[in-house]
Parts: sequence; C-alpha cells; structure tokens
Amino acid sequence: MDKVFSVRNRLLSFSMAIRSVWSCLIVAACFVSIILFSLCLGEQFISLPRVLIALSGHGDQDVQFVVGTLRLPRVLMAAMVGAALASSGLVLQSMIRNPLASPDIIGITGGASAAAVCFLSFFSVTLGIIWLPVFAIAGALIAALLIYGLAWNNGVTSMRLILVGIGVSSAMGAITTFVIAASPLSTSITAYIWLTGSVYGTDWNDVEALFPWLFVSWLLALFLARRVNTQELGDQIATGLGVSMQRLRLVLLFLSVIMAAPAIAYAGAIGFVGLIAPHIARCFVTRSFAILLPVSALTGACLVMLSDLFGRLLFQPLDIPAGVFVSAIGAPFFIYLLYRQRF
Amino acid sequence: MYLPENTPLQSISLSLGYEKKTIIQSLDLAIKPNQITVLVGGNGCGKSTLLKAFARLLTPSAGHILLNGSDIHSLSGKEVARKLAILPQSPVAPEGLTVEQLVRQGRYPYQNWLQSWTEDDERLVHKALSDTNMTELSARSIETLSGGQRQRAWIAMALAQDTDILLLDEPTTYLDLTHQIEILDLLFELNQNQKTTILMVLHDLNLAARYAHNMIAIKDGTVFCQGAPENILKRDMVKAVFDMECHITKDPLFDTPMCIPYGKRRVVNKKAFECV
Amino acid sequence: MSLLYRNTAFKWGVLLLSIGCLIFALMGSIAFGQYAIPIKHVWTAFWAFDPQSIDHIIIRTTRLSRAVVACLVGSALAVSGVLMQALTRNPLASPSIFGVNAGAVFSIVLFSTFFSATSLNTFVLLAFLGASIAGLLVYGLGSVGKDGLSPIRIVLSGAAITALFMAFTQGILVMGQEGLDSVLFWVAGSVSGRDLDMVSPLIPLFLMGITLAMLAAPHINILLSGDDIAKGLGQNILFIKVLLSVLIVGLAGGSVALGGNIGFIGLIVPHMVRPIVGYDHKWLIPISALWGATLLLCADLISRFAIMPEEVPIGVTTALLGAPLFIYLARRGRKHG
Repeated sequence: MDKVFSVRNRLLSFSMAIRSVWSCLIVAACFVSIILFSLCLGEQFISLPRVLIALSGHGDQDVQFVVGTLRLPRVLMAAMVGAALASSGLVLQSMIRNPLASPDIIGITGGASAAAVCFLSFFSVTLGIIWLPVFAIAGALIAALLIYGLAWNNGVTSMRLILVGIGVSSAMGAITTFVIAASPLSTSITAYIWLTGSVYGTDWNDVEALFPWLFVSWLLALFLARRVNTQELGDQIATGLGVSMQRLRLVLLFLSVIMAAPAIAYAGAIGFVGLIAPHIARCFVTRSFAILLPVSALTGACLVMLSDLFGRLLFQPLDIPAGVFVSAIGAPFFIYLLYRQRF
Repeated sequence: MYLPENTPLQSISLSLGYEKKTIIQSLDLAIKPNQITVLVGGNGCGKSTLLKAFARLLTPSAGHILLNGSDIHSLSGKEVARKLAILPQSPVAPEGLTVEQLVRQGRYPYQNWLQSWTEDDERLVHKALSDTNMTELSARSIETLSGGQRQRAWIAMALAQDTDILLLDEPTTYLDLTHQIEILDLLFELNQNQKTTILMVLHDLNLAARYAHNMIAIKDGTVFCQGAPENILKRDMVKAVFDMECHITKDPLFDTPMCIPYGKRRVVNKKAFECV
Repeated sequence: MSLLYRNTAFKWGVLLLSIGCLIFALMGSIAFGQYAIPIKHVWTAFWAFDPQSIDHIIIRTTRLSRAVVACLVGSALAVSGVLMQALTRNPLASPSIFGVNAGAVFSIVLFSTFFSATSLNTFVLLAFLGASIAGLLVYGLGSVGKDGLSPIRIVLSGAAITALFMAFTQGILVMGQEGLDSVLFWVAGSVSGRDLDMVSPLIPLFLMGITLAMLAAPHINILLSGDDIAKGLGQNILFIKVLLSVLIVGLAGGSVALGGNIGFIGLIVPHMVRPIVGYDHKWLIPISALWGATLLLCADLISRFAIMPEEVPIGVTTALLGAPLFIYLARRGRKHG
C-alpha cells in the first residue's frame, strides 16, 4: 500500500498518498517558474531581479509598465485559461469515463465560441462586456445539453457522446465562421482569436472578470470530489453505493461548462488543453479527483503559458496565437495516447 | 399490505418493464433473512431485471419494494447503500485502480466531506480484504488480476459496505470452474460467519442447488415455485421453466439435488434412460 | 425496397433522373444570383453569344466558372466519400472528418506562404501530397493497437489530425498576414473567384478519377464483404486498397485545391443515394457523383442568397446541412458498418 499522509481527529479525517503530495509541490514550483520566465522574456529581456522589483511596485516606470500592464495580465490570463480548460477536461473525462473526452470534443468549446462571437458582433454595444462570459456559458450550456440529449438513447454511451459531440462541434464551428464572416468583426484582429485562441491584448479588467468564475467552480468541484471518484466505477455500482447518478451527471456537465466557457469567452477556442493536461497529471499523481484537480489545473496553466511564450518569442515581431502552439504540442500527444491505446 | 414477519427485502405487487414490454407483472416475493437465495430461470425470464429492481437500479412501473418495511425508493441513496450492497454483472474498473482503492470506495455511504477516512473505515476495509484473502494483492491494479481474483476484489468492496444484505447478478459468469467454486465458497462462508442475507442470480442450476438455502424459479416474469432445492428441483419444474427433459439425482458429495439434462438427439446409455 | 435493387431498369431511371436534376441545378445556379438573369438568356449565352450583353458576360465568366467548379468539387467529394466509406467500412467516413481535407489545406497554405507557389496545378499537387500524409497518419493511427481499426478510433484520430492541421494552417495564415478573406477561403471553402481558363485543364483529371473509381466498382463490392472473404475469393486486397486510397486522396485533394475546405458532402451524398440504389458501386459511384454536384450547386445557391448581399462561405452551409445527418448516424449506431 502507498505510503499515506493522513489526518484524523474529531473534526476532520482524510488521507493522501505521499507521492502525490510531492508531485503537487513540484508542479506548483514549475508553475511559478514559468510565470517568472514569461515575465522576463519577450521583445525586451528584463532580468529576474528587475522583474521582482517591478512586481513590488518600485523601480523603473517603463519596466513596471511592461511587466505590470503588458506581460503580467497576459500571463495570468494564460494561466487561468489553461487551468480552467484543464479542469473542465478532467471533469468531463471522469464523468464520461473516457480518457478522450474534452471540452472541444464535447462541443462546449464550439458552443461557447459561437455564443461569444455572436455577442461581440451583435450585442457588445448594447450590453456591457460583463455579459460576455454569461453568453459564452449560455452557448456552451446549450451545446452541451444538446449533445447530451442527442446522445441519449436509453442512457449515454461514451462513444455516442463523442461522435455526437464531433457533429455538434462542426455545426458550432460553422456558425462561428459564419458570424465572423457576416459581421463587423471581420475587419479586426479579434477574428483570428475565435479561430485559434489567443491571449493577446489582455488587460486587468479581463483578468479580474474571469477569476471569480474559476474560483467558484473549483470550490464546487472540490466539494464533489468523492462523488466523482465513486461514480467512476460505473452507474450501477455507484447507485449501489448511494450516489444519485442522474443528478450528479447533470451537475458535472454544468460544472465543466462553467469552468470552460468563461475562459473561452476571453481567450477563444484553445484546443487540446482540456484533453491532455489531465493525462499528464495522471502520470504523476494517484487517481483521486481531489488531487488530480489542482495538478491538472497547474499543468494546463503551464501548457498555455509556455505556448503563449513561444508564440511571442519564436517569430518576432509577429505574435502567433497561443492556440497554435498548444495544438502543436497537444495533437502529437493525443496521437501518442491513441497509439498507447489509452481507451 | 401483507407483511410476512422478519423479511428484510420483499416486493409487493411489483410490475417492471422496459419501454413497451412488461417483464414482470404484479409480483409478490419475500426474501428470507440470513439465508442464501438463488434466482434461476431461462434467458430473458426476468431474473436479472428482478434483482436490479430489488437493488434500486430500476424503478418499478407499479408496486413497491420494501427494505426492512420501508419503501426503498423513499429512502435516500446512502441509507439504502448502508443496508444493501449490489454487485452487478461484469463490473468494469477504471484503468490503474488498485484493489485497495476499489475496496475503499465501498465506504462511500458512510463518508462525508469532512470525514473521509475514519478508524471504522480503515478497519472495515482491512477486514474486507482479509475475509476475501486479498490482503497480499491489495496494491495490485485490478486489470492485472485473474478472473476469480477480480471478482473477489469486487466482493471485498461490497463487504466494506458493511451491509446485512448482498445482491449479486451472475457473479460466476465468465469464470472458469475453479474460480466459480472459489467465489461461491466465499459467499457461503460469508453467510455462515456473518449471517449476511444473500440474493443472487445464477445460471448454473446445479451450482445453485448446491449452494442455495432457497431457490426461486422464475418463468415469464412470475415465480413458478420457490423453496429449498431438494423440494423444488424436480423434473416437472425443469421441464416447465427450461423446457428440458432431465433426470434428477443426488450430488454424491453434497447430497443436494443434481439435474442431468437429456438433450435432444443422442442416446448413449439406453438402459439409463429407460430406468427413470 | 430490396426487390427494386435488382431491377436494372429502375437504376437506369434513377440515373437519368439524377442527370436531369443536375442540369436543372446548373441552370438555376447560372441564372440566379445577386443579379438576376432570365433563363432565356442563359440559353442564348451559350448558343448565340452576344459580346455586348452584360448578362451574357456575367454568365460566361463568373457564373459558369462557379457552376463548373461546384460540379467538379461536389462530384469529386461525393465519390471520395463513397470510396472512403467502402474502404474503411465506416458509414461516418468522409474526407473532411478523416483529416484528408485539412492535410491538403495545410500543405497548400504552407507552400504558398513560404515558397510562393501560386499556380493551380501546383496547388493540386501540393494538395495531393498533404492529403496523402494526413490520410496515412489517420489510417495508421486508427489501426495500431490491440483492437485495430475500430470506427471510433479512426474518427477520433481524424478529429485530432484535422485540429492539428487547421491550427497550423491558421498560424501560418497569421504569420503570412493574410486577410480574413483568404483565411475564410481555406477554412470554410468557396467555389467562386476561379478563372475558367485555369480550371479547364483540371476537368479531365477529375473525370479520369471518377471513371477509374467506376471501373474499380466490382472490386469494391467484393471488398465490402470483409478482408478475409475477399481474399478467399481471390482478390488482391492490397492493390485495391492502395488504388482506392490514391483515388480518395486525389479527388479530395483536387477539391481542396479548387474550393478550399468544404466538408460533409462526402458524408451526406452516399447516405442519400445508398437507400435508393443499394450497395452496388457500379451505380452508387456515378449517381453519387451527380448528386454531389447537384447538392453543392444548391448549397452554393443558398450561400449566395442567405445573407444578401454578403455571401456565406460554402463550407458553413454544408456543415450546417451535414452535421445533423452525422449526428443522426451517430445515434443510430453502425448497422451498415
């Protein structure tokens, strides 16, 4: 049996494998290092001590501007988006019990993108920008329920869910393209965002708007952690152990939507993160959802931050959308997964 | 409502169906406590459906299932799970799950957010592992085990649930003979030592006769007959329920009835046929 | 219905009807548009060309080339879809779902951005190259492993390869600082804007591809019953499979070079035609080709009229038409697989 770290008293009792605790700390360390790297590197190289001084609010005004206004929000956004998509992917993979599930394949990404471009094209003038994540969530929810409902035929098999998801995603992608082509958006750079995903041009308002969504959804996810573990054993066993499966499934679907959709609303349709970050996390920690969640989130954050960093650095002065590099890393990994028959 | 005394699990006027088909119509059935009851019947007769209804996996279209006198659907999932454990047919474990992690899951009905690993939890998990002789294998992942070991792991999980009633849907299907006997012996011991009420579906009539205290023969969604194997395993029952001519003899090792089917075409020992 | 399958006269009837529908759609496509032209003028534009008439000029240049491209691309995609579904014995197969289109788009965009390739013929070659690589990747990926080529694995590898190539394509388009029009052409397709002079040399190629497919039809029929049975009947499976793959890639690649990434035609058309003519590919292939052309012409008409005066990219229309069918098929399960 794995060495465990356990707490037991009148109020609280739980146990965790020691190996997982170490892995969690290591991933957290990587996360922080990548943030610092991203703040140092760019068009203008700023050394680490100067970055730290700028972060504390002192030092050269120019450096403070670059670090505090240009780079930091962008990096934080990349981190949050990566974490959100990774968490959403983890929830979906647990719920559908198929390691190939992810928000892109299940149509959540497509629904959120379609709703977001509709909002930006038609409603952004009349309604405030604060409504953007709400639209995205609504779009993703509609898409997810549509997919779930269409895949329902006396219960949902994961295969049917994935196939229907591919169909609905194609339709959503078509709608997104249509709206971009037909709208005033088509003249701006923002059109590209919706096709690939990018954190270019993020400011602090965006970061502040996204954070609450993430925080609340993570709390909810941690609360449901044990139930998620149990339902992985199968509908019948889980029901036998006392889980109410139908309700749980809907809640988990809703949870994955509110995790992914706001992130997509701000950064566009970045694919593959939701798929591969949980898998990478699974290599390091045990299967328990409560520990997989933070590690997947951190892994996803690192992935998107690195992709954005490469996008900024590799083809200067051009800024390649982060989504391109995520796909570049993600697709081969996905291929590797298929090769290893991971499902 | 007629409530026979001392029955932990019973159905009252139970009707069950899928879509337009009715499988079970108005069935009254009481399960005897502290005994092993086996449901037997031909393919599609409704025995698995009935078991699932008892396990709260299917909702009846009419009638009730009573667990210790209360309607099972009026109780919460966790309440039911503390009294009744189900092992469905061919359960699938997620990849990489170890035996110990699986057995721990059996404690779910007793845990909540704050208390997820109490002393009771730990003790009962270890007890379940030792009762099923799985302690040495507890760190192995489920897919690396043999069929019999895997089934023992699932039974260990059901044991960790610490219930009075255990329901099993064809626990011996897909197992070879050795493992079939291994599992059934384990269940028999459990019933002897802990007085667990066991209700299971078996497809092998002879094994059912050997291990059951009660047999219930299901035909076309109704109870054809029920009782101790020596009382009900007779030629006319097998003919009616399985549409098969047979010869009933006594198992030389266990003294329980044993059914030897005639089959359709071959006649090898003419004299034996004529004697019965 | 099955009795009708054996009735050759019925099939001839369907064939003639399909040709009729195609001609009807052609006329419609040429006549209708932002600038309405009376049908009579369409007729006279070909038989009594008047260089002074604006109508005639429009017909002969933009409308005709558009219609021709739509016919070529539509029929090629449909036949490619039929072949793909036969080869993989998977009713969900089509060039767009299996990444073949995406591979073609990627290689064209890559070479035209970095190596300034511009001629249409070069595009076709590049498309062929890209489509082959993508097709091999998808097929190979779906086949390795203990379960071999299961329908879902190949669909999933197709989705992955498509996403990969499309992301790279968009990245390159960003780097090349292409306008949105260009991006949309490759991502969502279009049958307009092609010069007829450039397109005409390709017509024989497309026709050859479709004819070859028709000639291979009897062999395809046998292949459908399964590898083992086909081998038992003496068929050279490897040769047939390679031939089919080459045809699929060639037809799909050529379509992409001409019209960008147009999806779902290869999926929809075989499913429309099969219930009527059955699995005999001698009939299935030509009739699918006709209906592929007709369907794309209709989709093009819809694209022209939906949001006048703007045009919907044609890939959007086909996706919106095709996705519901894909979902319906996914729900039903693989009875014809």
